[in-house]
Amino acid sequence: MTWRFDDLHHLSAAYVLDALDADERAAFERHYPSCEICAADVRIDRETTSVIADAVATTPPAHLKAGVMAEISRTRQLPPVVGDPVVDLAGRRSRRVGAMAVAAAAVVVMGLLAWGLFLQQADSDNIGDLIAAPDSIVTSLVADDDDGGAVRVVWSAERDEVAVLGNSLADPGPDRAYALWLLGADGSATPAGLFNPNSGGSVRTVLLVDNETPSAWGVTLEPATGSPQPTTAVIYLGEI
Amino acid sequence: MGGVNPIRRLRAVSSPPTVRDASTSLADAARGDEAAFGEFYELCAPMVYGIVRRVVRDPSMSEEVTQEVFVELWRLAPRYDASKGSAKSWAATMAHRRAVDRVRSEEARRTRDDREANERRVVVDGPGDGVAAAVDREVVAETLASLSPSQREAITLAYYEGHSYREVAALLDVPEGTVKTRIRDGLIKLRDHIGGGL
Repeated sequence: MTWRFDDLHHLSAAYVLDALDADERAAFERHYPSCEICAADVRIDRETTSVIADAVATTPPAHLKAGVMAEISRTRQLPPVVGDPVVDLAGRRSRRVGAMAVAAAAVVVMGLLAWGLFLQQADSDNIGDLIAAPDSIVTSLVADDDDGGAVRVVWSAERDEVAVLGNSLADPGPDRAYALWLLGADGSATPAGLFNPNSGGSVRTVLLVDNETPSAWGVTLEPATGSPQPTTAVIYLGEI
Repeated sequence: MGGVNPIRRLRAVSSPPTVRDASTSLADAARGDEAAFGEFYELCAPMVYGIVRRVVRDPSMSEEVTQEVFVELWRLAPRYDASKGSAKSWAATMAHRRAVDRVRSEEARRTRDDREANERRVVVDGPGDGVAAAVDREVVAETLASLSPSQREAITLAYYEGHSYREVAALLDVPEGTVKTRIRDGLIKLRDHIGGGL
């Protein structure tokens, strides 16, 4: 079976509830570790699911513990894997830095793109903390057309930070950038900052927002220098 | 929503204050500390056994799966990556996955369905089991209270009954995409409802 990106992209909840068929489960497991949005979704959905599991907590028969303890004392633990996620991330980072060096040597424009990539990467450790913040609110933005990729926003009012995670975003071109807006219930729009997808169309960045209580998030395309107010129609919209 | 968040209240009741939490115990167990693993067992066994029992139904098969899950958690403990989620959610993930894989072979499903029918009779016949089931239903209802009836139905059938979304769609006679949406929106709603509790 062939999977369209969008299909895979919305399977996190069903995956976490083990509600996928074997072939879909395998396809999603190949996809999500390298997809910023899906990896974040899986992590969050698993925490939610453990609460649903807790609701049916049942005291196991007392003899079960003795059986488990006897069995583990006979069972060898696997050694920690050095190539596991953390190290893997470092590997990815150094590959990106390597790519950055080549690009910078080639053309100035390419060098700028790589700098953007580097900035996004530098932010990514922050994003984990932001997602884990007790007050963080995740909002999925809806694209105004079906081919428009996906944008998700994670906001913590306490930290005055908002993470933008996006995939399959169109290249805004050299003179334009994506802008995130805090939309108020009264129709006001406050700029949260600009972001640009990398050459693969994905974005992962943290913007600062000051003491704001938006009722929705909106994304528009703006001149690369930014605008005090939206100058084009909202292309991604999500109510908080 | 006003008043006390029912889930937060529930969590407060179901996890009494302990000196160490599941993640700390698991971190020590990852270095071969069996006593620490015993502690991890105490903290997670009711959740693991509860979800396995709920999906598998058969008591002795549930014990078997629960033991398998804990032995696997022990084996993999050195590879547990805290940045991917809490130790408790890791245990819940493995428990549910194992339980579902166990019942998903047709053979096991048939057996389960027979036993389910038997169990229903037991619930009617035996007052003890009936009371336990009622308590169980009440806690589940409280946890899932923020969901719409159709979201609750989809999540219950998928998670607690171990059905795939395709099976849920067939059971409810609605399109598969609708079930996927209900599951997704339901989890998002639960997450928002739990909020700071996580």
